[in-house]
Amino acid sequence: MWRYVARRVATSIGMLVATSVIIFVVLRALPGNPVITRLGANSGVSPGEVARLRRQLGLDEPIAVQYWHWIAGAVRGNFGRSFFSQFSVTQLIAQRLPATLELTIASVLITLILAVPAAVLGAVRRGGLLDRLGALLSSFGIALPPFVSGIILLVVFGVHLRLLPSAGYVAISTNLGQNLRHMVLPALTLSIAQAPLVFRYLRTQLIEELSSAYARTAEGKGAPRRRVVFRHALRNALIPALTMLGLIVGYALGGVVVVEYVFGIGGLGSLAITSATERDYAVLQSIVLLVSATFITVSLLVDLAVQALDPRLRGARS
Amino acid sequence: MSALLEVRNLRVGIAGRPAQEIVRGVSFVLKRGERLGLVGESGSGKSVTALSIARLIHTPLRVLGGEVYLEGVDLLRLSDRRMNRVRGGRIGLIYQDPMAALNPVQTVGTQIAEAIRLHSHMSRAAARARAIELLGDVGLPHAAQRVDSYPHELSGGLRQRALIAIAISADPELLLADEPTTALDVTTQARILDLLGELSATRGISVLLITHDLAVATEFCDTIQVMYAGRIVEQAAVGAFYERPLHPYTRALLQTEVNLETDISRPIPTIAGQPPLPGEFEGCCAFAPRCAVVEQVCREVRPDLVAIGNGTVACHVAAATAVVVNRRPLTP
Amino acid sequence: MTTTAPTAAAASSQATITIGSTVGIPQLNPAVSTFSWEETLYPLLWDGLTQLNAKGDVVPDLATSWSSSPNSEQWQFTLRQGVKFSNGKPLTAADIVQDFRYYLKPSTPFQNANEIASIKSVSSSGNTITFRLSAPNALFPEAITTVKAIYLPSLSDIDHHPIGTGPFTVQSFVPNSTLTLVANRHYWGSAPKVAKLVFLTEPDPTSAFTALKAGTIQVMGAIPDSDVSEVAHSSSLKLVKPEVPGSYVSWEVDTKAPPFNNVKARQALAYAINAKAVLNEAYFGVGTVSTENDPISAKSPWYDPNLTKYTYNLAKAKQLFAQAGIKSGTTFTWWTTSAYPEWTTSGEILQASLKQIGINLKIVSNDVSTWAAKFYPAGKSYPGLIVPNFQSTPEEPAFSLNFFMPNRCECNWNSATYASVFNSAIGTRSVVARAKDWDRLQAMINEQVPTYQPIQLEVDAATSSSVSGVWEESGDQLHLEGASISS
Repeated sequence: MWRYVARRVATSIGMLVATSVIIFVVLRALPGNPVITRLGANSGVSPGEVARLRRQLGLDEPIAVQYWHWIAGAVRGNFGRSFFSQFSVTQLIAQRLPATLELTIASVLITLILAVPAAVLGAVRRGGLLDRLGALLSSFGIALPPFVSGIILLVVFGVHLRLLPSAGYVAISTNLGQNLRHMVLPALTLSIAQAPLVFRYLRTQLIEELSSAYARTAEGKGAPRRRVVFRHALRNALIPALTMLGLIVGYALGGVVVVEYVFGIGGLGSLAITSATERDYAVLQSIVLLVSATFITVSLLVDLAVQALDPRLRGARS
Repeated sequence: MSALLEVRNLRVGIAGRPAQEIVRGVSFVLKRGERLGLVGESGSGKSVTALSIARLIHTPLRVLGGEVYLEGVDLLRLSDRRMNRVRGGRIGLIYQDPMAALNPVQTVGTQIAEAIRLHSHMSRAAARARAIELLGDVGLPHAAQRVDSYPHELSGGLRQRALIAIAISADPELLLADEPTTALDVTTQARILDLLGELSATRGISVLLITHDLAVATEFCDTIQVMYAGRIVEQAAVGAFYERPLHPYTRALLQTEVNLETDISRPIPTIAGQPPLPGEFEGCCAFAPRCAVVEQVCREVRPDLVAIGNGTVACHVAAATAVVVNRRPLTP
Repeated sequence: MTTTAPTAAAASSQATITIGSTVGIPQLNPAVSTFSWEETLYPLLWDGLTQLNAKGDVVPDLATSWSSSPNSEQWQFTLRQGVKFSNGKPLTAADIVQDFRYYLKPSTPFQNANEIASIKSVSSSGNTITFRLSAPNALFPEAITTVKAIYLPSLSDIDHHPIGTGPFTVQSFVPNSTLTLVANRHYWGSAPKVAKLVFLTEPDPTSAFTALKAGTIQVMGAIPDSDVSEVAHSSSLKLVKPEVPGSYVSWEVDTKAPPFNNVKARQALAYAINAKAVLNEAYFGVGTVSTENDPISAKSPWYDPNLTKYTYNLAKAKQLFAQAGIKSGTTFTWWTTSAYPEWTTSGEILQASLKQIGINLKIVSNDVSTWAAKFYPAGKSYPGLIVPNFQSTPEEPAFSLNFFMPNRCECNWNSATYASVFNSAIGTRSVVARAKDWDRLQAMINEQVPTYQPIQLEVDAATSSSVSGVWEESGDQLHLEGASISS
């Protein structure tokens, strides 16, 4: 078990290093650079000025040296500065992390609240009215890009019903009520895309578990149907579904970019978009590294959780 | 001996027009203390019969008709709640694949304790102690340690013993054993059968043994019923059965039997042809296409079960050639 | 941050106005503003010596009065008394001198550096600030409107705690996301009518406009052209537009490389532009066609109506292309960016027109950085490319016509004559003489076609009808310093 953990942690770190190299090189291989973007509003810029700014931003050094500066700083918690303001990358990310984190967690929670009961109902009453309704709604959810569902929610709840604010983010520390009101629509938008995936996967898994021999054994013991469903089938179905949840977190991190864009939320996603457009290398490469690290960590935790929950994977005990 | 279980004209299948029947009117009586074998090829409907008795079949399968009396109470008409008391309480079940039949992520102790607590008000600790006791009863060595093992940590034979422990945990009157030895090697098979026999004898449990293996059935049972295409085609006490099988299908089954004396250098005989699909050969003898002694009547009229000697058989040829003493139609 | 519509009584000092924009605010230093939207902060956080009013006239700001030597090479400004920075420190003439020296440093990427490049020296004595110029500039008070009074000792912290003399100060700032301004209690002028201004970046135009309709935001800068008519017909929203538009569509070609180094080829392309179709299809009719290829709006008093008209004429275009040696089958490239879908539409219209005279136009769409890298800054060679862009300047021709000075325009067009006429224009105190010079410059642009100005744009903002006191400058800069909101 511990050897497995050590091996997984080692590969995770390897993946992270590889990711950092790739993002670093790919970013700089793109046409355009932060100097041009920064001088963007100015006409009549001399080549000397461009060269001076390049030097000031440290872009004239060999790429390997630039990478070394970044990584050497990063391991000490210093990710450099934005090319476009006096903010350090750490400050920029810290400002925006709460919104993205809350959005991701809220959307995954809503996803589970929507999808798990629906999957249970669908699997237990297969082909029933609720099952068919679930299938229909999940087809909609999968077909609708978050961009479109977000705008629909905006128009319905923001413009027509005027129930919920349609843009911005309020920190939890500022006002919890406002914070939650601002979170509802964006989190729901993400969940509309995620819940169908969880619903379909869990339902299929649950149907398989319910038709398994051990579920019949439980029933044969005289266990009521509800106990068979929740104590046996659902618990076992959730183990592979946990792996799915790890993917959903990754999916949410991706979806966050779109949702933040639509709802004008200043999170990591919108920071990533801005820094990509501006070629703000230091910021973008650090966000990508952070998101990769998060995703790799979540996958690692999920793997370890599955290991811990499924005795078959733990190896012989005695 | 009084009747413990009486099955009357049980019909099971997929509802529809026409319904696809898998069990096509099965009737039999299981006496208290009796060990009754239900023998047939896969697809003959024997397992579905057993599961229907315990009401463990799920959609699309459903009971289309008939009654199942346990001491005079029709199980098919019990409420779900009361049926849950019967299942695992008065009727214990043992399944074919002990690996799949145990929940892979719970210890065997937990699974036995669950069965105990479903039928008695017992604390967790007491249920655990009882589980260890039961594991000892079914011959699991080091039961106190093995109680915390997961199914994958046990051998096939030990898993089957754990399943048997679950089945007998509430002191049932009847065991429905569905191919309990099929997945096991020959030595383990014999041990498990010995255990079942011993439990049956010491606790007075009646057993309905479902198997495709005539040898297993004849070794273990008092009475044997052969099923073919959803119907019982022959029924006899085990002695008579072995000495003088009446139905051509039974004879064919006996010939295909493989045991330690079989010369495996020669090809093992098999029954030619395929068992019929549900709904096929409805108006005639379903075995006719594969039968070595088939006659014209077999293809035109479906044979009823008739009493011959101490047994019954559903075969035109057997009925005609038998030395008939008290030939009469068998009425359910 | 409160984003719900205020329910308090009219124009209460507790009121908040939330302003949405698709463009973000990346930093707060007024000297290095990178995007025009940041200029909305100029009148809120900062003051210059002079400022432009809604009519485009230069009026006092931190300077109460000014005068110049007869040759317009020396200027003196009298500083307003009693002005304090938002940290409570008094503003002195010495601060202004330091600020100008900072703006003039080559390492300060000030976008209007050209406007103040002629300053030779700046000094102060008492309340008076004196500038000496290397060339006469009668329009110097106009030229320095974008130089703001900054509290220099805290320059290194300006993005976190900017200290200026404007009516508002920064409460909190998340770059490119949210900026919250509150009233500056040290402000020298009359206090603002709202307690808070919140700038919210909403990158998606559709959802930003939805938020405006929902009341989550009350002001939106630069609404999409497609939504202008909806605002005009709405009872709950109103349009804010400049009196004289100062924005125009600007398409650039490399005038130093073949084929567009030939003036005939440039004129040919001008005739091939179906400006009316571009205006209607790409810009939803918001703006006016400029047949004379003039960067100056027809609504401006400086506009010269007596110029050659490049009315859409494919026969003429074909003839001129032929004279320039451009044969049928030639392919040009429309080098655009996906950030502005209207540019792609414009390219498609031009493509259809050119097709009719046997010339192909390949449309290549890039992200903004890739797009800019190809032709920016001035001096790059990009033969055969036609690059869509846009310009926005104050109404004063000294700003718009400055773009065609040598080494400024990415079109690489250098004309010594143009430069000397321009310098003469800003050097003269005679309005009549200057008008003549402006006319000459417009005529040169009209004839030489260094860039294409087929359309004068109108960049409109919108507010909820409960908001008043918002106006837009000629260069699309939104003025919110006098904004108020009623329930």
